[in-house]
Amino acid sequence: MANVQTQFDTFHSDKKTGIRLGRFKKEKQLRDKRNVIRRRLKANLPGVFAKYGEPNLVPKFKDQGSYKMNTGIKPLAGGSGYDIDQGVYFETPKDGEGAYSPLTLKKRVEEALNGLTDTIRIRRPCVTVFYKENGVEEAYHVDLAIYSARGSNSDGKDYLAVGRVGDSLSEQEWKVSDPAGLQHELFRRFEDDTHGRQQFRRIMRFMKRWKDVNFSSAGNGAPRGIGLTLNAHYGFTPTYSDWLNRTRDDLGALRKLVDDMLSRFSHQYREKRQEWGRCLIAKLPVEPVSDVYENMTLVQMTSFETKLKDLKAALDAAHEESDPHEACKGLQKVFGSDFPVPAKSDTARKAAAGAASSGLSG
Amino acid sequence: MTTEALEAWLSVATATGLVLPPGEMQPDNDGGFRITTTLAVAGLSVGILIVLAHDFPKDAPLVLVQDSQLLGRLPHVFRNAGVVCYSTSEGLLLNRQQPETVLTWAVKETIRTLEEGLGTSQVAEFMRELEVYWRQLGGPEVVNFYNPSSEARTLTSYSAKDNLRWLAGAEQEMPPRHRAGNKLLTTIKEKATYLPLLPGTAFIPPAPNEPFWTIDQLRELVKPTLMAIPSKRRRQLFKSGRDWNGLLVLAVPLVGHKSHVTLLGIAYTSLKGVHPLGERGSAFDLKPVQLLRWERSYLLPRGGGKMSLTPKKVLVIGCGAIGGHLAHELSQTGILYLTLVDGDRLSIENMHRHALGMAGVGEYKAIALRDELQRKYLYAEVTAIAKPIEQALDAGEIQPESFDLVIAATGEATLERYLNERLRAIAGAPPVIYSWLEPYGIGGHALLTRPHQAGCLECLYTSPNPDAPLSNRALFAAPDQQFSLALSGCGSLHTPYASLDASQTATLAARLAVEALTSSQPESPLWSWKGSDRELKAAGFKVGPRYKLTEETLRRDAMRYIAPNCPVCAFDSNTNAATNHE
Amino acid sequence: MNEPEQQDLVFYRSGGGRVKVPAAVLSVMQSYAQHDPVATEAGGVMMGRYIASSNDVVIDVVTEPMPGDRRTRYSFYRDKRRHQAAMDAAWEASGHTCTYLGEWHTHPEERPTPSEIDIKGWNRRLCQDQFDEELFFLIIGTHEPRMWAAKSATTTWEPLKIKK
Ligand SMILES: [Mg+2]
Ligand SMILES: [Zn+2]
Ligand SMILES: [Zn+2]
Repeated sequence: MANVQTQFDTFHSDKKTGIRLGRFKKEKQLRDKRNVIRRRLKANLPGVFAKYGEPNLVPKFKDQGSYKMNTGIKPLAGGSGYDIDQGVYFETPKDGEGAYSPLTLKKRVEEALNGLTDTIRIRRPCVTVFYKENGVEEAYHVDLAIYSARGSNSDGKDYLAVGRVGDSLSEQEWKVSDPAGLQHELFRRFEDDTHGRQQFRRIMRFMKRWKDVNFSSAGNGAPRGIGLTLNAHYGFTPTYSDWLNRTRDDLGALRKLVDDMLSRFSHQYREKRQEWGRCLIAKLPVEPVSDVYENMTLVQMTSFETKLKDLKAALDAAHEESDPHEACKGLQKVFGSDFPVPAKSDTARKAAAGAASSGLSG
Repeated sequence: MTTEALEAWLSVATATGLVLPPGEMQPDNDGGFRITTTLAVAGLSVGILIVLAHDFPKDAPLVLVQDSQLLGRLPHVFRNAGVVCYSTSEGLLLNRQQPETVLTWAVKETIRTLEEGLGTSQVAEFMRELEVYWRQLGGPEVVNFYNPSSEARTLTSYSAKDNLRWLAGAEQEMPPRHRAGNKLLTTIKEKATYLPLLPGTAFIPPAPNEPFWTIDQLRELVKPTLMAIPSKRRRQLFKSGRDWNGLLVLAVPLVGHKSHVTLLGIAYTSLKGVHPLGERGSAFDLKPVQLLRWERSYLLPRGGGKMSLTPKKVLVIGCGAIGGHLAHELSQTGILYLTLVDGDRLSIENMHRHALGMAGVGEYKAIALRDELQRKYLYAEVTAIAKPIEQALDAGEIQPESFDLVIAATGEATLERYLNERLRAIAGAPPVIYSWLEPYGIGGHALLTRPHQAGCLECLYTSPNPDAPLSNRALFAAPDQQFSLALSGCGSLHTPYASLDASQTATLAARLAVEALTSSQPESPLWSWKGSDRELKAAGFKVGPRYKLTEETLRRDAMRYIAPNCPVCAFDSNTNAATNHE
Repeated sequence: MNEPEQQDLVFYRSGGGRVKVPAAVLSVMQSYAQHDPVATEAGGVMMGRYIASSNDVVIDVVTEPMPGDRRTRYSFYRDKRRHQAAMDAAWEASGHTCTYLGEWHTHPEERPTPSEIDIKGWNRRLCQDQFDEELFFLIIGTHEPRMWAAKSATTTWEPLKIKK
């Protein structure tokens, strides 16, 4: 097996070319924006609610998503850019007297942020504030997930406001959602296993970058990052070349995960789309216990499986290859140009120049 | 309780009559109280004396039967002043806050004990505690080495100087120091007869204040047992010889136990020189004898139902701090056959961390340890080889295949790697445990390896990365650190560790040894104990990644050390050595 | 070329490593295979890398018969100077990592075995130099190539198994 851990380490953590989104560099900027939004909402929401003759609701904020879970990666050039996810919780019931429709509450948030940047859009799961940078229109963004908080609901659960402008009331939805519970579920097994947790995060980032490189960013063509995270939740096992010292073997861990994912593709009924077909499921281990891939079409699923098989082939080839240079060339094909390929000269043990001798052979 | 408090409390307790029947109450000289009263026991009125010591209710009340008619004739009532053993105090928790419940409980238990004694189960009660009653009879003491069997047979009783007497069947039953080879002992031999009584044989033992059994009483008692022995065999056993003096050993099956027996000794003097159970005459004098249970089957640990460890042969290589403790631990588990190998003498610097202490200083460790073990453990059969293991192996003094287990604790990694390779190559080699400890109390390790099974000491030195510097991957301390301190110039090197670290490591290795020997451990695990890293860090050293794993993870990963590319144990796999092509 | 597409040739080393002969390098040597009943023996030196942090070896370059070499049906004499020059060039070009790994030559037999001359020559080679690493000797037969490995200062030749 070619030892390509050095290259995986560089791919993951290198200050310049590594895919890991540190919590301290680029994210500093995102965190600042997040804080501006928090302040802006606190300042402007009372006026907005008053304007509509509605009682004032004071928002509470919680980080969520890959930022919170520390599984974020840098975006590809030309992709959707950096983002940070922010939960905004309101003490207002999802139903009953005085309840907001999901869209109305999102509109209040949008209005309170009005003028903050050029582009603020209500998307189905969130309100998104886009930022310009160096002339790039939507260089990065903050996703605001709007919740009806558990304290206001008789079942004690948080509900996410789902719906965009133009959605009829029936298309809008208060959807039960528990990001903190999900994070707890995902990381519970690593409570006293630092190495396993770190490798889990690295593997998540590799899979997300693989997704960004191999799928166009438009629509539901690509499996969602949270889906890949869930697949890893079920299929990841810590893998080391030296267990005693926890010398990591990320290639081995990836191979096991991808093998596991491929083995879970099967012909099954897809509830949401009411169809039978060959698919992979990424079931939330917390409410609403739904399949995160439920919106992918079967054509998209087929492409997902095909690309996973290509990934497996590349990983297996790298495992079989003796020459790290060749192995990394293969890995670069699936993980993109940020995956480093060592020069041949960097892969050799330093040796003395040989001396040829004349010789007879028979 | 102060006397005043006790007095005040007693006057209330007796006045109400709830706790105790009314009786006479007197303070005694020791700050306690004596209460004389009568208890209704199975319709009888029995006079008793209750003694409350000054620290009652910390100590349970003493209850004495005052009625001489019952004295010593009831089970659990002892001849010395008629003390009633109404309950075993072991494991008993007295509630000091409530003296009345303690007293009430004592009275109730006394009544129950006496009623049971007077009831129909009287004989059974005596039988249950037969040993205790026999002991009250007194008489000379004889050490028993014979492992009780279910067959009647002739034994030998030995007498040596200092009134030392013992009893055994065969020579090898005796501990090494009692055997004939031991020149210190000049012995007189006498005949002894071992007679296991038929199950169900029940009787009331002689009372201490009465004459001992007559020959007729004894014959009556053993009659059913003798009838069950074929007459030919009986004639052999009780053949008349020069039996002027002899010993009878009655093995009485313990009620409710299959294999346990009570041994009763009876010394006889035969005026005609005939066996008391072989002839009709009455010219015999019988006296009780107390048999001390020193036999193997009684003394050696039974290991909690596990396979017996006593016949196992263990080779211990290295008798230093770990080896010294380890040999003791192994002996304590009942392993008798140890062979100790070490070519070094114990230096004074190591006195405090060696199990031998000052007693071994200046001596060959192997020999001093052997002597110590044989002194401490009656049945230990220890062989000492005071030379380096390589020499002992080369000279053929040690056949590794003749042992059930080898344990190496030499503290020399290079030597042990050599042993690992050498021992694995021997046909029929036993499992080997390697055990070593780390400096500054950060931990210790024990590795069990088995021939023909993946996983060996060399695996720990086999990194997946061949460019990595050679080091033991199991170590908690970061690699490439030099711990040895030169205490006095360049002469003696001293690795800083304490006796506790050595004994904890020895305990770990001993546990692994027991598992390996009892087959409860079929695998080849690496066990480690993890201590504090405080001292190590304070001394300016670093811990490695393995130290940061939790103890639970270490346990779970016990088999993860196996290196698929280990040059010693990785036999055939497809990545391994190519065999000839033709 | 009419030859079927070549695949990498991989041999197992004892101790877990492998020796990889990439398809391109293999085809250079295969082109000298003595299929033709009058073809003469050919050979050269093998150069490449001992891969760091592993026991793997990759053969990157082989030299081919050059002027000065003497080739017959049953023997091959390699002239030192020109092969040395080729090696030096490869060594410089690789940033001093492409090193001498051993030698190769062809045999006019299906499944080659080293001749006495081969073994003598190899052993001499092993005595001459103090290499830390193993050296490899490859013989291209008409049906299959075979490789042997040995450490310097020894004369124990270990045949290597081909990875299927
Ligand atoms: Mg987002
Ligand atoms: Zn040849
Ligand atoms: Zn091994």
